[in-house]
Amino acid sequence: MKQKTLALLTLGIIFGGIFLTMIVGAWTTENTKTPARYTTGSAEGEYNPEDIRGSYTLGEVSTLFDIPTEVLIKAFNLPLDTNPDTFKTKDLESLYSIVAEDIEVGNESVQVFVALYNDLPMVLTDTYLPTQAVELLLSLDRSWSQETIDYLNAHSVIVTISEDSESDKDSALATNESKEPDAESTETNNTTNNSTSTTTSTAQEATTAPKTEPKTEVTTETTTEHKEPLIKGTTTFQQLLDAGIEKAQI
Amino acid sequence: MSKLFKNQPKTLQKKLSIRHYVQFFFFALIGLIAINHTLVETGAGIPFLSDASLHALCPFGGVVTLYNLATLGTFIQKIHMSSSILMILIFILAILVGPVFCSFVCPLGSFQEFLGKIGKTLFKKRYNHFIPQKVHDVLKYLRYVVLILVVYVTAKSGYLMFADIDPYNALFSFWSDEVSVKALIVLGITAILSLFVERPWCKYACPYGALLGLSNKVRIFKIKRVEATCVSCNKCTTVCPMNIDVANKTTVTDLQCISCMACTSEESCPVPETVTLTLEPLNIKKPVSANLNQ
Repeated sequence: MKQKTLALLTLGIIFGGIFLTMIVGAWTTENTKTPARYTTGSAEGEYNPEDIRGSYTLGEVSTLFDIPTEVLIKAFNLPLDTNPDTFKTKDLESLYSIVAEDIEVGNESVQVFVALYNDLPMVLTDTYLPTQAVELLLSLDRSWSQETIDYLNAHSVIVTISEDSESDKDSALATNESKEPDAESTETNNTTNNSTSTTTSTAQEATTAPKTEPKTEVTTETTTEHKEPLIKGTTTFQQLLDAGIEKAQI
Repeated sequence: MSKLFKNQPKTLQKKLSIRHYVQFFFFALIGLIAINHTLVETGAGIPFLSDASLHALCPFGGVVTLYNLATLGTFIQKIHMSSSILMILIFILAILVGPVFCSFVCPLGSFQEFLGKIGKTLFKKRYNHFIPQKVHDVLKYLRYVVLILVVYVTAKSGYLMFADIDPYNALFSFWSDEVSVKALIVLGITAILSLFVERPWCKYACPYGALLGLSNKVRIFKIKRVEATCVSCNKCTTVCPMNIDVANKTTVTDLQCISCMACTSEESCPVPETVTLTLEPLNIKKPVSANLNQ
């Protein structure tokens, strides 16, 4: 076989194959926006939030997991005029400044929030949630286990829209015409966040649990407290002063 | 500098083969699609050109998602049906003519090869011979370790964890904020090594190359050397980018062969029809008559 024949064979099989699969409708380069379902356990048959992709919009997450878009917008401290049909979960990563190295709020945060909000089993690792999401979850009429509460408190971060992303905000957030100031987000954005801590938690996937009990069990294996504490909703001014932050900074 | 190019070896002066044109074509195609993917996200875009993600166009994605597809019925994140289709098409090609994907299609392979031209100019005959053969013979199995590791980790996690160190991804998304620093470092190391060793990533680290390399044992069309007409000039061994000792084989079944045709009579072998890509005759044993009578 000559090189020319080999080249033609290569091009023919690759592009011929692509063409044929396009004709039969099998060729897709984007996901079908249908997450995988749980195959075992009490949630068998339900959509698995771990399969939420970064390309999912808030609107799609809302539809698939039956969570109002307003809840998602509030939980992730987004402006009220955020368009849920265009804002993708991965946009969170570029929208928010990273509060510390290796800590970010993004698609995985949405996965965890959806799992906890809908009481679905999920292995919790080191995923961080905005303080608004944590407060929202803890305010639900749910008897959270102490381990889950500890996990949430340890993985709560104050998120602010980064200056870099401010310029891109219009493209990232396809907004509506009205621009009402968001009191809560304004308050949060004005909060100084100079510090954080990292907490390594490993959760065991729950298999069965009563309806009133959250299905997610959390087992904290190790907790490493760094010198710089995480500022949470429950953090007192005295704790901030103790951490070395001056009154003027506060 | 101009002196450097004046004294360039014959390899650079040679007329480009059809394989090089195919390589340029795929490199440009994937590069343009990657740029278009970024442009589309910013609201612009090149008309009539796919804006698929790099992962959607990587056949190795089809391999690493196999476990998820079989157990959960879904693709791992960032992988789509197109990856699986490409995986099947490349496997068909590999069964027919070997890992031709590596030598004709893979843009990362082409990138290393282009850089290798500079290495050949700089180091001439020493190029691609810095690593002792004994060391090479051990290192070449490293990519199978990488293959097992990548498939296992991806299957367990359900995430495309390899993407963080994937130089192919870094090559076509270095301008994007999605690329990791680790991947850029791996790409940089690969680029530097390419100046000394031909296709270092392909030889020692590429998991997909490792998998496709297995086809060399069963492929239908094989590289064959006709001993009767061979003049033992060793040219075929010297030019082999993957350091295969073609001159001492009658059929090349080495796992490293990428079907680049460099060793053939069409490219470097001075004797016509001596090293060729030919059909492997089916080795069907005749049934023993005694068995038939039973």
